[in-house]
Amino acid sequence: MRLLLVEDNADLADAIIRRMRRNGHAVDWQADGMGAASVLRYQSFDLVVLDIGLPKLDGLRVLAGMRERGDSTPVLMLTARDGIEDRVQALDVGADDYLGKPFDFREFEARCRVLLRRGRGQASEVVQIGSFQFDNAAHRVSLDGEVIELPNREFRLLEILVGRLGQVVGKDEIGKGLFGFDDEAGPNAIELYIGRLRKKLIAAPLRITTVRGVGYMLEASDGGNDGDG
Amino acid sequence: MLYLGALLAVFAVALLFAARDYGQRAANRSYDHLLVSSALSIADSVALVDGQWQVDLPYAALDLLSMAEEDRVFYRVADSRGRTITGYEDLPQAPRRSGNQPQLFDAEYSGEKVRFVVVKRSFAAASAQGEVQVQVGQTRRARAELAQEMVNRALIAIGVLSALLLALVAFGVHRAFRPLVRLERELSRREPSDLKPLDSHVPREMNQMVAALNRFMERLSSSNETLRAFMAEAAHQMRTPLAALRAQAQLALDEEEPEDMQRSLRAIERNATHMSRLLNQLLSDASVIHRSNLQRFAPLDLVETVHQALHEALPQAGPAPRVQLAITTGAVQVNGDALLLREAIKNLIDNAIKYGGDGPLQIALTVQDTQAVLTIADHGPGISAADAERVFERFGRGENAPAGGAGLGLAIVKRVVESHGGNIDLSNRPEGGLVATIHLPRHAA
Repeated sequence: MRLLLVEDNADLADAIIRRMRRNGHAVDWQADGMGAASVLRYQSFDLVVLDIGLPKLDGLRVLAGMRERGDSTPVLMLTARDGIEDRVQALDVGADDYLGKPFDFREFEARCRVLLRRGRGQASEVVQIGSFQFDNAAHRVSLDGEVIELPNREFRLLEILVGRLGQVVGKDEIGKGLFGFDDEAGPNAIELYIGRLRKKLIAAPLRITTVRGVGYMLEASDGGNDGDG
Repeated sequence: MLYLGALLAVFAVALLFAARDYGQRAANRSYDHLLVSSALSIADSVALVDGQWQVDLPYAALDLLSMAEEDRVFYRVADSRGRTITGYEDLPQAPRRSGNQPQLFDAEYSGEKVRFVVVKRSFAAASAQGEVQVQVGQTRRARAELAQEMVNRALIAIGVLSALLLALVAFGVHRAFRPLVRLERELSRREPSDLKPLDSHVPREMNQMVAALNRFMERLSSSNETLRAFMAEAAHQMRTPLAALRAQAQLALDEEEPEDMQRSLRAIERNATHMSRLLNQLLSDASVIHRSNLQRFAPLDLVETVHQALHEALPQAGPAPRVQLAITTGAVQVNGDALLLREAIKNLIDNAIKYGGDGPLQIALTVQDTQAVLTIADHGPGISAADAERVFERFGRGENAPAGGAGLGLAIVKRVVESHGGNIDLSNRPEGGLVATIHLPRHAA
């Protein structure tokens, strides 16, 4: 998934970015409110992690701007201010969740997962398709109980497709969800990942269908998986 | 109240003694008068007839004295040779004295203390001459009784008066203290943190006290508020570096590449150092706030203070910024608290290093008439006019302030400078950068 992190402390940002990238997410970083506001105007994200105490423009104003524009991207507010009034204010301005600093990374990741899942309209982290199980929280893909190892990028690709099960996901959209501004993705990178994913899921009751000129679709099938549909 | 009672008791006892003395003297005087008039009337009744003394004793005279029922009366009339004409022979003699006035004296007679009077009378007739001595005495019981009665009456009067006085005073004091009691009750009912002004109605005499109490509470309340804001801000400042510390630590635990772990460790070190500097700054700020209230001033040399501040403010490790000093020759005497001034100057130098960009730090100390002028200039972004005033408020930070500034320093600096009778202002230099200018009154050596 594509995350925007807006945090002015470089070390904290670095820790979050490294962690989330290791999980396979694409993370872009802005260190002040003005930069964040302008990026949000032309780029859409799956989740925005927003610090309140920012230079140039504080997080609450950035958030208010987003909501006024009708941008309903899920937002997780991070802040050193932890009073009740601060929480209520952030939630009222339009934050979807709120986490005080310092925090435990596990909680941070869990809350991010919740917001990403809501964005996808999913109720839980576990998606079961026949004997195939996709568990986002445990970061595990299994078939008949046996784990299928997936590198992070492929896992995230699968996550995107699972989230839109039975729907075509445009190549651009996949690209936006997988790669950040700093990632170097060649023109065939997505095809490469799709190919690898297909190979790994050969035994699963799933099929990844290529829709030429548009994108890809994941759908349930009765055993066996072949290339283009 | 106890003191008042004790004082009253002492006074009453003194009065009692005075009353007894008066009573005795009055009784004495009255009875002495009676005694003398008795003697005089007896003397009047003596006549020299044909060379013979004749005494026609006026019993009325003695009756007068016998009104005291328990007392005994003695008399003696004697001639100039001491022969008794009539009366008790063995009455004690009067102590020798010249003069013709009636002479009063005390003596023992018949087993009791008796008061005597002796009256001399001279006679000159055609046939003979002579002098008689009339002596009358009375035991002292009656007069003692009179004296006692007077004392008793006085005692009762004093007692009643004292009691009344005490009651009145007690009542008055109680009434006076009643609003105080009400005040005390109101105060003890309050929450410990409630420092709102008192509004109970008090008599005029207490207005001043209530006003002073209200002022005190207001000062305390504002001081508490400052402290609370200070602590909230301090805690807030610490949270972000702490979050970075924790996040990097958790990350490092999951890293496998030594390079990545090193990176996290360096970040941890950076943030821990930042927090420790922050903590030191906050502690020093708190102690400066406290100390500037004490105002322990002494003459000091500002040149030395500036050197010390510079030495302490320059970072121990890492690159040292370039510093250009332009300090006047000779000592610059100022009356003040060396530690406070040093901390204030350190604060300014610290800010210049942090926000002042890469150019050299320029510090100048000169003397103008009665003032010492200290300037600290950098080559940084300077400050906007709006910020120039705001940054002196506690926690007010300029818009361009990068993260990690404590923001408390300038409020402290201003406070210290002003408590030394000086002033401080910030302005932008034409050649770029911010200059902080401090004026301090010189100490006339």
